[in-house]
Amino acid sequence: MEGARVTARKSRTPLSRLAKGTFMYLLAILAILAVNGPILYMVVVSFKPAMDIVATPPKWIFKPDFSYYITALTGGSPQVHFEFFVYIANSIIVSLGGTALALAVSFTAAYSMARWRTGGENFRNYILSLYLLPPAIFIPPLFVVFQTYGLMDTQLGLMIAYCVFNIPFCILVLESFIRDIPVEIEEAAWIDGCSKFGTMARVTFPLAAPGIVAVGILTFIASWNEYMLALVLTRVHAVTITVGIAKFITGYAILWGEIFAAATLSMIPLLIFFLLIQKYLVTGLTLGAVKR
Amino acid sequence: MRNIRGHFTRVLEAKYLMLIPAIALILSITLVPFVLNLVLSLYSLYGVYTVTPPPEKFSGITNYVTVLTEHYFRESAVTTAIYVMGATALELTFGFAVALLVNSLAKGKRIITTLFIIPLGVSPVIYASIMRLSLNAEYGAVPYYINQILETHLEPFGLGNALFTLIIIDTLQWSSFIFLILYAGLQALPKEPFESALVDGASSFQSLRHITVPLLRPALGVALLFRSVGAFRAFDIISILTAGGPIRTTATLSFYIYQVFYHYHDVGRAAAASLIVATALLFVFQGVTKITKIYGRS
Repeated sequence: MEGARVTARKSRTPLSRLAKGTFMYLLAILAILAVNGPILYMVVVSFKPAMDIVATPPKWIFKPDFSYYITALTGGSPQVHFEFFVYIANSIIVSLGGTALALAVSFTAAYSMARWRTGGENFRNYILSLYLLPPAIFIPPLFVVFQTYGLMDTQLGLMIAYCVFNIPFCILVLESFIRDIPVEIEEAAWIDGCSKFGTMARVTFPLAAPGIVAVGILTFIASWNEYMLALVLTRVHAVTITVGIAKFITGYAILWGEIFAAATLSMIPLLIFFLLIQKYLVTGLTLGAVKR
Repeated sequence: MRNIRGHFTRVLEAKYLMLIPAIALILSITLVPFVLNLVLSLYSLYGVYTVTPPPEKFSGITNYVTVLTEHYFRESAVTTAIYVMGATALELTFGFAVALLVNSLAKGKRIITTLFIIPLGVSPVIYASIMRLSLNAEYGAVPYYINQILETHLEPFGLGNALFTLIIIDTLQWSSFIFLILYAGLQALPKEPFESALVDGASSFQSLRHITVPLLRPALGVALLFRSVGAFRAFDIISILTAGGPIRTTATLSFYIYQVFYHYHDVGRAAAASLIVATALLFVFQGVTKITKIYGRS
């Protein structure tokens, strides 16, 4: 009876299976186009002459115009002052610094919570509730504190802000990673006379590396793309690329070509990085966040 | 062999020492601001940005009364609820569907995964700028073609449409995030239950309903939690696309606080609103976790 059903399932003709397979790939391609369509559109517009950008019906064949890229790379247009390299450097320094700092303090905290249940369920829920709070509610006090203590418009200030807002997320995911590492390996190190800190640094840290990489990537991306804190806490010197690009949306006109040229340029380093680390991202998530 | 007591104290010290840096940083930017929020919220401060507000500006609970009685605050609470629920539901549906689809493919999983998660690397500010042009009612490409086909005059950011448009944009950008978590979860599932289900003659929908979804529950919970928090934080796309308009119909609570602080320069009122939102959010979260048990450790 059951055997017969199985045969019935498998006896589909090769042709119908081929058709179904093709259909599945078509659907996948459609999904990819749906989410990436806007990005392709951006790249196309960044080469369009100004008249063609706002033409109706939309113009898809045009003579490529590279002037926006030149504008974006050489200090901006007469209306908008735009220092591409300064903003990119700020973004890199602030995101990398914030991520590294957040990972360092989160790893030790997560280790303590995973190994000895420090603080128990309540402390863990406290951390979780901090993750839930939107950064917007910290705008008034942060602004006032930054203003008073000279952190306004500095790379260091923004770095600290990014670090702290990412700590809850880092702790939560890293803790579940470390819990998956067998404690026996560490016990062996303790017996051999390794200190608690030594064990954590020399044994657990390398074992948790895939998880740390995955969390670090997500934190870095979140910091790189962050807009609101950078908008409120910077003015001239520490402006990041996200805030910089938004400068082309002025009160009088929106400089589409310049926005998209700058955005395309700013995406290149991140996309290369993304393609390189993609393997770690999936493995990392499989090991960590998912196995609760 | 070391004595047991020395070993014990060393563990005790180590376990708290390891927590100190993180706690110090967290408290410095959460507890300190919380207290400061509380102080600022009791003063009437227009354009006065200082940690020590002048005593003559003390206004008691006036700011709380203002926030709780004004229309704008209540409207933005409703807007936030619609935005978070709408975006999360759509993203979960789309992301899960694509994860199942990619997981069922024989070849090319890696390359399709990579291509599908590209939007995660694009700043929401940039994504929003693209949408602002392509959805422009006068010269945007998307409304143009829709108008040609349906013979209407579509205004994506017009009154009544704007919130819906924002939800769709959020979905396009962030479904990839749900996809990534659920796809990773699918990869980690054991094969045996599916094989025995196939032998027992279960349809693909039955094995999805009775095997995949229950086994994937932890991953679904994580995806749901992360994404609803993300949607609650959405500020960039609102700021770039609609600035809360038309007539405040797309102002979420995040945007409301920003606007009261940054445009109205009403420091005290923004602080009061922050505390109200934070408190309400923690209660909502407690309730939701108790009901659904999505995040509890069994």
